[in-house]
Amino acid sequence: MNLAKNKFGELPETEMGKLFVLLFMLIVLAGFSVAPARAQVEIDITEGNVKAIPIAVAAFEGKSFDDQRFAQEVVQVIQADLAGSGLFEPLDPLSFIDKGASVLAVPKFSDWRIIKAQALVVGQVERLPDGRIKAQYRLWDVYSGKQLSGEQFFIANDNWRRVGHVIADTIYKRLTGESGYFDTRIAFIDETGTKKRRIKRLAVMDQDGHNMKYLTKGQHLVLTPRFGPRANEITFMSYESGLPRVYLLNIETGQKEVVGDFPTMTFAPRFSPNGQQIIMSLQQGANANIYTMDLRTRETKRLTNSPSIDTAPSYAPDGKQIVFESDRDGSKQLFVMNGDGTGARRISRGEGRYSTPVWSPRGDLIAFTKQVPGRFLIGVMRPDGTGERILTEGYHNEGPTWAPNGRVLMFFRESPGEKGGARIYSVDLTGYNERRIRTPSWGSDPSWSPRVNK
Amino acid sequence: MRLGLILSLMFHGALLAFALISLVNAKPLKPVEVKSIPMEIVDISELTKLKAGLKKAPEKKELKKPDEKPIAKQIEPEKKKKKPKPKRAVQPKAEKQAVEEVKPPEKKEVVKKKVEPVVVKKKVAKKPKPKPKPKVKPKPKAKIVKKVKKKSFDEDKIAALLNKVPDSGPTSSKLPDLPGAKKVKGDSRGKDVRMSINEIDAFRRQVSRCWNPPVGGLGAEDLLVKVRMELRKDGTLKNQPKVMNRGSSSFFRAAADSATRAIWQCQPYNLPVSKYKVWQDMILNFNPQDMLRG
Repeated sequence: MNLAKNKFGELPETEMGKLFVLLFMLIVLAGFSVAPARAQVEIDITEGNVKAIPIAVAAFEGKSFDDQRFAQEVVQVIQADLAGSGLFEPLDPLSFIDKGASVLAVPKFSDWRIIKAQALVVGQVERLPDGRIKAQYRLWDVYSGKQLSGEQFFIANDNWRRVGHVIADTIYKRLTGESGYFDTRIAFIDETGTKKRRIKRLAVMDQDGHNMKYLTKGQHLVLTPRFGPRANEITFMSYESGLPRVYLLNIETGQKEVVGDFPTMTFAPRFSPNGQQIIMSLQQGANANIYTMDLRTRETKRLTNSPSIDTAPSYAPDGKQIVFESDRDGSKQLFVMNGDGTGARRISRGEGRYSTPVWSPRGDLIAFTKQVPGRFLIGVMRPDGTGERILTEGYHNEGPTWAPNGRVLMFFRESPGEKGGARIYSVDLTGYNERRIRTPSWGSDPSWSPRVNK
Repeated sequence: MRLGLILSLMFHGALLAFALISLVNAKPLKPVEVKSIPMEIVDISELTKLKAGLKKAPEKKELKKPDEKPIAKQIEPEKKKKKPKPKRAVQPKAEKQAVEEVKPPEKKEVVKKKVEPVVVKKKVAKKPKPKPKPKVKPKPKAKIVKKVKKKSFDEDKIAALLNKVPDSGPTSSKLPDLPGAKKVKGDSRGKDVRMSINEIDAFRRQVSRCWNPPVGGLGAEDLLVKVRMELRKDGTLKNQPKVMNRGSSSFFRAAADSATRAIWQCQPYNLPVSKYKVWQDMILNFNPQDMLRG
């Protein structure tokens, strides 16, 4: 204290004065800037009410009679998409007071407030002579009366349902802040026949179960289809050549090829985030190790080398890390390693056996299958292994796959017994809103595509 | 040495100033809420505040005389024509209705000014009698109230008679007092008036019920949307709620919309009219923190 005083004393008075004036001014300034902040009451709202947003999708307009019928179908697609997400509650069109809402006019919001709609969608569709579809829509906030989004776009006529999916995607994005996943496809294994003699065919369909298409004929066993980052390529495992091999398939051209020239069986393939490599397991005696193959140079690279079964690799979205399952510690557990195969460390710590890890497209979580006596669970954990959370459980659940926005998962669930079989389900990241996905017969091993049109 | 000293002094000064700005700005109101935990104290403060406001009442007297009646007469019939309810003309009910009905038509500023003191006087009129304790205060107040009443009552009743609508009687008697309201500074400073924890809680619950936040989004934990809302006396919104902070992500935009939607949807708010000065202009901090657990 004394020292400090002495030092102050040493300063010439004028400089001291200047400093004090400066200080004083600063304090006064600070005082001014603070004054208004005090006047207002601030209240923290830290809780809300998670419920579906009531949304009104008004009848879309169409210029001709045909267009009007088509418009009706588009509205149904939008409503089904929004309702299926569990985050929206499309209101019954019969309750609408204003039946003639148009894209060209500002809606009469009081009419929509009465039926408790929070958001309103109006739109118009038209089939153009050149075969394309022209669609426009506006999304209104009913309470503030402001337009949240409005777009016009053209889509080829070959899949008109996409008009509805694309509109539903933009609505989803505007109201939840995350990109939608309705304009996407699912690759899966379609299963028919009795349990002992199942015919398994590779198939793709729209995310809502429409437009299903078979990609293989069912003579050979196929497993684990996985979409690439471009939504038109699939890698999967097939017994086509007798020996289980990883294949690559372009679903638009039908072009198919074997990945790599390995002497033993290859399985559990997946694309790297940039689509340039396939990562998979190669059987080596009683063990399996993880390899990558570059699709351009055909160069293969070994990433793990352990006397154990290392499989089910999945890249982080930035490509810098890989999660995989291994029994190197005795039972099946999850491990994370660097993209070059170094620095493997175990991340699963709970009781039970962990398998089929999948890194979320937004990078924050890893989904997995967990087996505990008598049950199979689907859960998520952070990449460092913390925050494990179980989303669903049952007799046999397996093979989670992420929606491109990292908010929803699909998986398959097998029912017990001779007449049982696999069905595909979706579940929200919160564990709510579990729904069965419509498939023509039994279905397993779903893989969610990225958004078709970004 | 000197240079070092000067630098250090300046640096400390800057630090001090920075601390003054940033620390005071942080969340000035939280401690206030904590203080008001005991409920009864709040009630008492309500009363004392009202008295304080009336200390400076002399201004009112002057103001009241010119304004009162003509405006009141002119405005009221207009309001009532617009509204079908009062025409039913049942007198006992009408009194209550009238008080409530005056509030909504705030488009005209004159009406706003008038509404506030009505409440003040009502309470004062009731309360001074039972309370003998305050030394000098109660007497002047009582007098003022009486005077005001005497003056206004007769004429207002006449006004009421002149009106075709019987309800107007009671309302008009209250309205003339209003112009003074703004001039009563004790009240408008708002320091004495606090919302009790119960009132804040009830309000919070009301907003929470309507708020449908986007949860599960990446970074939802750090989400904070600050919304300023201005209310009328009847608890309805005066204008569009304003989002006070900015965020670039689509997630913030969705969250901000959900917050303003909640505010729109929940009105009218049930808040004590006597504390209107406090809640007429509020900032709500929306943060879904409590809803996200692992």
